[in-house]
Amino acid sequence: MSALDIFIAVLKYGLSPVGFIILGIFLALHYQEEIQKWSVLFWKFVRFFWKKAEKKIVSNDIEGRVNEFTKSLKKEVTNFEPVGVQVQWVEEGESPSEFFSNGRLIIRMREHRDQNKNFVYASMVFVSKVVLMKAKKYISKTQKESIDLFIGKKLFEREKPQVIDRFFEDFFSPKMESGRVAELVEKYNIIDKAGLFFPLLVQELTFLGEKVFWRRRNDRIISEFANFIDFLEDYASREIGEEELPKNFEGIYYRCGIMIIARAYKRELGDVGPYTKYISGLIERRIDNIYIIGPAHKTNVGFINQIVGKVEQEGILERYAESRRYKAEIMFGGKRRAIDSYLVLLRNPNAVKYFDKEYEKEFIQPSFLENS
Amino acid sequence: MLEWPIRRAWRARVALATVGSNPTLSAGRNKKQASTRNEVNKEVIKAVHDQDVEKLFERLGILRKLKEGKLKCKFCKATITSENLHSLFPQSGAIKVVCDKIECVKELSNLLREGKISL
Repeated sequence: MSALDIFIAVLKYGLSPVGFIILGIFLALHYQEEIQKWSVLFWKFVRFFWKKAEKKIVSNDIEGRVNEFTKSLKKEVTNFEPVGVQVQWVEEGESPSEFFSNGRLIIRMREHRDQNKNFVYASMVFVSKVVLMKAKKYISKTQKESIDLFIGKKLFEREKPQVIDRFFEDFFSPKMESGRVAELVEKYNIIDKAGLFFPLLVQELTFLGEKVFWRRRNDRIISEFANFIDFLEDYASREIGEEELPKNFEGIYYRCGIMIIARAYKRELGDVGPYTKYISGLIERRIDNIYIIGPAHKTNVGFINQIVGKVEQEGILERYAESRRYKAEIMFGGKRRAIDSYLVLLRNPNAVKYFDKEYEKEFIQPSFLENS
Repeated sequence: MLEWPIRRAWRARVALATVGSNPTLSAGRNKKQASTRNEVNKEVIKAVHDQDVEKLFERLGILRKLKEGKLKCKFCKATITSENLHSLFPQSGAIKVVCDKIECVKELSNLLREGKISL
């Protein structure tokens, strides 16, 4: 429910002045970003009397929308540390040594009439610098650029669809002419149709960012990420019921499996044993994360939860954060069909986080690669 | 339970440990800690509004250069005007200005990612 919905619902029943103040405080605490977005209308009115309100229009619009977006990512990506933005104007009393401290960048903001440009340019600088900052240290320039472009596209689609044309014209289309970035963005688009861009691809990048390597840049991390994207693309393009595709990605740095629970006859048997046995087998193969996915109807969700409960009870893996429901467009007879889906992430609590020299030597042996 | 109301919080404690001098893990919460679940850490973007651009350039002693068309983009060397100005930053004791061409904004993003300039 949005702040506006709550406000309208409460107004319907009338409110005393005290109640009005309490409601205001509640909304300000819980819907800070939304209120900031709406406050732009107020500042546009104030601007007629006070010229400096112009800056409030520009900064509140950017802060409200970007912060709402990064907060929403927290719901989709577990352990994602949302970092928001705060636009700070260069003040008259500030000296150059203050506003340029630590080699700081100053971005020019136009009049609010050109706010779409302000929003797109400031957001793209923000996304490239802040979003997935830790994981970006390990991936290639092309991979970084494509991730930024795709996340930027999602930001604008969700938060301010009217700027999409500006974004396409200035950022997206020019990059689509260059082969590799365009190819990657297209792959993300397919993965996103299956609802897995944020909860699986970005989730795995978040896990990657938490790892520490004795060598900061490693070409194998880059090539493995490229293979991982292909793996997810194949999965996202599969037809319902197709079982030939690999279900696990067993690299050195990314080790995860996707488990689909959807077959009615297996569910009706109600036996979770084969599933827990299969999961135990994956753990023996050093799989770190298992994504259990299935249709979100009541009986299937109940069955998935039974499996997860049993796995947790036996101490095989642990549920990593809350389960989530999402819309996935799955291929059915050559066409995509929207299906309400349910996802639970199980994580191995002993997943390796520090890849020291010895560990990498041991596991980067060709024999390991052949077996995996 | 009271001590860790957010289920994943105890895991975060492990992930935020440091390993020797490697800064990667410690970067987990490199900004001010959020005090409530609803707050997020914020990265500051320093900005100058069109209303103040001339004043800022005057203070920096480069307004005349801007007006005479003598300021060049750090990356593409195009002439900077009040129309195509995107941003400015200090480097090696000089002030660098960047135009709003997509390629130049991309180069700027690379410098930011590499930590050669900061937000």
